Amino acid sequence: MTTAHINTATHLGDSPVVIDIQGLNKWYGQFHVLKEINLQIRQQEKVVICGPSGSGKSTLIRTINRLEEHQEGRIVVDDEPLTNDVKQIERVRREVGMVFQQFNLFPHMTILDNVISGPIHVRNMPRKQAVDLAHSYLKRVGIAEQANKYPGQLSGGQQQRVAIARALAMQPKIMLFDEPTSALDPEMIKEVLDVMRELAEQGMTMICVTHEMGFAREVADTMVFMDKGQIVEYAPVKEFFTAPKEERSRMFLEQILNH
Amino acid sequence: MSEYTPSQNIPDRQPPATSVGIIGWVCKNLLCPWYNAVLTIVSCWAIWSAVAPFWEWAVTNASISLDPEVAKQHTGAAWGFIRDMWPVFMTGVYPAEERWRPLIALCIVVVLVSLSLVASYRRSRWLKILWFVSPIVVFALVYGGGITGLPVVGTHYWGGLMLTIMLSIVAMLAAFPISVLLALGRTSDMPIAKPFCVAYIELIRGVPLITLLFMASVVLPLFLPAGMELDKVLRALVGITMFFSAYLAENIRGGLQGISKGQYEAADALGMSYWKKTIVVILPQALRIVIPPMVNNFIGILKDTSLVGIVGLVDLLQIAFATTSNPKWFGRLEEAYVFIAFWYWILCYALSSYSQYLERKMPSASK
Ligand SMILES: Nc1ncnc2c1ncn2[C@@H]1O[C@H](COP(=O)(O)OP(=O)(O)O)[C@@H](O)[C@H]1O
Ligand SMILES: [Mg+2]
Repeated sequence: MTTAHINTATHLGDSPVVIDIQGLNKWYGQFHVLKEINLQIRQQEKVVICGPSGSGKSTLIRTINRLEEHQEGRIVVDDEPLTNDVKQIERVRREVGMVFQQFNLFPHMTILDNVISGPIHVRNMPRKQAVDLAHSYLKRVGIAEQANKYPGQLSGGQQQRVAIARALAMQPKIMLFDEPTSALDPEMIKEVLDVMRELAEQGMTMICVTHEMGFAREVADTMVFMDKGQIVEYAPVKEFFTAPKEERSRMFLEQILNH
Repeated sequence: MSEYTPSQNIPDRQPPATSVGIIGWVCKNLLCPWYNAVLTIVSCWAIWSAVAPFWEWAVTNASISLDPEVAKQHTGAAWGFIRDMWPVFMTGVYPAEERWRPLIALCIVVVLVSLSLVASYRRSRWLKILWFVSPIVVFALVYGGGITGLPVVGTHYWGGLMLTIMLSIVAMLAAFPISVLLALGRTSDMPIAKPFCVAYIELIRGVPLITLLFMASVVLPLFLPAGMELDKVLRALVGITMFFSAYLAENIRGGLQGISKGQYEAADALGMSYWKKTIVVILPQALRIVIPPMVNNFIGILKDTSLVGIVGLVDLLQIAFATTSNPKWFGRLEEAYVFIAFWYWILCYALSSYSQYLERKMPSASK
């Protein structure tokens, strides 16, 4: 199960690999949290990572933009290997957008200022251009009228959509989602998933940690099932849901689907 | 078991008289229950017995004559003393014929502050430029010399309220950026900067301000190359700034620790560099949290400048001593103390009000 994976999503067969993880190991102190991870993700591929809580899903996607350091193995993102070089890390982060479970909007800035903060302070875009860009993304996620409010004045679902717009305003090549709907009330989950679905249709390369299996089945090309710091199963989405190979993934699916 | 009949169409009524209006308030807060009534009476008596003698001294029996002999015939305060000497309270031994210069400097600052309070001007670039050049203009005006063509008035002539305000403002402006750097250093994990910041803060906080002022005025010159002399006011400023930057740094560190990890991660994930992240995301939030303790510190600076008398500066407090040893108004200490206390209070209260305004204005995470 720890051998290099062959990409089985046929329509992506000849797309370039944009994330290449090989022999990744990570420890928190003595605790071996990621074990021998190998994963290749191609341009425009949608990967959904699932697995029980504490299995290392968040840690894995956070190593991709160096929010977490790894001790062993090689991670190449968009032809840029991740090392301790700060400039290199910043270059990778510019191309990789991230959406967090807790939104993490900047509470002291308006919605508009949140969305233009990346383009202005990281891409050095002129303010006017950044504002136009921000408005177009806010419109895309359906928050155009709230641009001058503060995050605290918005509902959870709206805040998460702003967070997506903020990440998109950096015009990244890859988007990472870490349980983007887990902190939301049930009636708000759909509005966020709709935005993500649309993003997927437009061809964004996406890695999502989520328990929304309906969304996964519909959007994902590839499913990754993790347990205890390892990739237990890696399969095309259809295969994963109809004929999971591993006992542990089968049990996990049963638990989560019969709920 | 009683049967419950749902009643309908109950008309609105006024609340009972004991719970609304002045009567309600007086009853609830002052008179009921009986021990509140007792407390009210005791407090009124205590306040009256403290205020009445003061009122008699300050108003009823006071004189405002400029003639000390007339004032001596009154048992109360001789406010003529303040009328006579107030320019000295304001500027110390600053030459009388040059006093218009600090006055104009004061007007400049007052006009700038007033303009800044007008919301529509606040964001204008011109106002920012004016604020930026104003310290230079004020200094040039008060000190003179150079291109101004005005006679030089050295800092040893500066005194009174003017000196107190200048020391406080410059110390605040200087201590603030230093303390931000110290706090950032202490919360970082940089190998050399962190221990340095910790050592600086802990060392300075363990020493009284008086000691630092002595050190700055006696020890500091020893480190300077021979022949180079540091201005006395500047030496006192170094001491005050060093002292308060340590305290401010601890407050700001508290604010930094109040920022959640998610804020750092969100800024990192956007690809912001350390300084962008700090300036755009972290500091604005951290500083907002620490406005109340920070203003507390600023008020502390203002009041503690009264210690500079020890190293030979004649600030507002020292002026009180100096003017009351003047034979004409000899021994009028009470009037002098009340007058300078009034000024300290005005300044501190203004600072405190401004901080409350800032807190209300700034959007917070909780709103
Ligand atoms: N900063 C940390 N220090 C120590 N242990 C951590 C830290 N972050 C996460 N862990 C541990 O690593 C494991 C994996 O965490 P995580 O990646 O968040 O799991 P998941 O997202 O799959 O629920 C968990 O057992 C968690 O307790
Ligand atoms: Mg997680």
